[in-house]
Amino acid sequence: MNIENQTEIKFSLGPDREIELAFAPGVFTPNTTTNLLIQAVKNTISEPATLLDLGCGTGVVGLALHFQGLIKSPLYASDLSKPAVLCSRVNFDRYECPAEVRDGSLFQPWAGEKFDIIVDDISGIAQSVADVSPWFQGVPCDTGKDGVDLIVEIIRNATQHLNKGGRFFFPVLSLSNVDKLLQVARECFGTVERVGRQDWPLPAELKAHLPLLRKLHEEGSIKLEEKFGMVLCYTEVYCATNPIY
Amino acid sequence: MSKISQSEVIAVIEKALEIKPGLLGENTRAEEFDNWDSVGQLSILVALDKLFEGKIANINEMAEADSIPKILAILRQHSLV
Repeated sequence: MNIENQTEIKFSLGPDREIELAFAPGVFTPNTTTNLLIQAVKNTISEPATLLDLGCGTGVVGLALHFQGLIKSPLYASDLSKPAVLCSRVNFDRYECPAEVRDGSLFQPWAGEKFDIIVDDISGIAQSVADVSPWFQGVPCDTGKDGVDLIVEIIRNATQHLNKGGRFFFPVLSLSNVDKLLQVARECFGTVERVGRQDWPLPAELKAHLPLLRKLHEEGSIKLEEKFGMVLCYTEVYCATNPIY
Repeated sequence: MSKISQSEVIAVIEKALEIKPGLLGENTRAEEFDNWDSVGQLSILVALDKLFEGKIANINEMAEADSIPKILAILRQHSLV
C-alpha cells in the first residue's frame, strides 16, 4: 500500500506502552482528546463489542481498544480523509487487528448498519478558533461558527446506528459551544453521562489570539477559565445511551 | 496550616505526573520527563493548590515554573515551605 509522504509517529498508550503509527499529511494527529476518549471507553465497557470508530484518523482509538480485548472482530472504522483510511489500514495490519475500514463522511459509509459501541473521534472547535489553531492543517474542519455543526449531525444520526443497549461516546471541547451540544445530545438520548474530563492550558500558538477567544467566550460560543496564571480549556467525553427515536 | 516540607512537595509533584516515587530530585527540570508537558504542569498546579489549600491558584508565576528549583523558590517566596 503506497501512501504519499508517509511518516511514522509515536503514541503513548500509558506509562508502559508506546506504539508507532503510520501517518501522513491530511491525517489528524492523535492528541489529549484521543487519550481521554480511549480511557473513557476502556473504563466504561467491560466485554468485547462490535465497535465503530468514526473519524478514525490513524486508527489509534480502535487499536488501543483492540489491545484491551474490547473489540468483537472485525473493528469497523471510517474517515473522510483518504490518507487516514490508508494509514489506519496499515496500522491495523501492523498490529494484527482485523478491521473493515471505509472512506466517507460521518455515517455515510455505514448506511443501515448498527453497532454495540460507536466512538466518535471527531471533535469540533469554533471555526474562527480552528482558523488560527495549529490543529487542522490539511485536515477538514468545517464545524460552524461555534464548532458544533458536525457533532450535532453525528449525535442526531448516531441514534440510528446503535444496537439495542448500545453506547455512543463523543468528545466535547470547551473551544466549542458545549451547552448547545449537550442540549442536542439530551434531546436525542435518554441518558447522557460524562465519563471523562481533562483540563489543558491554551497552547502557546493560540495565546496570541486571546482577544478573539475572550470575545467568543463572552458570546457563549466557547468556554475559558483563567487560573494559575494560565488560560484553561477542557475536553470532556460523554457516553450516551437509550436513544430517543 | 503547618509548613509543608520540600520532600512532601516533591512527592505531590511525582504523583501528579504519575512518576515513580524517588525519581524527582531538588534539581529536576521539566525537560527531563516526557510527562512534564503543559498538561503535566497544570496537573502539578492543581495538586499543589490542593496541598496548599487554594493558595497556589493566584500565584501567576507558577505557570512558568518548569523545574523543581523554580517551584520551590516560588513557594519559599510566599512562605509556604
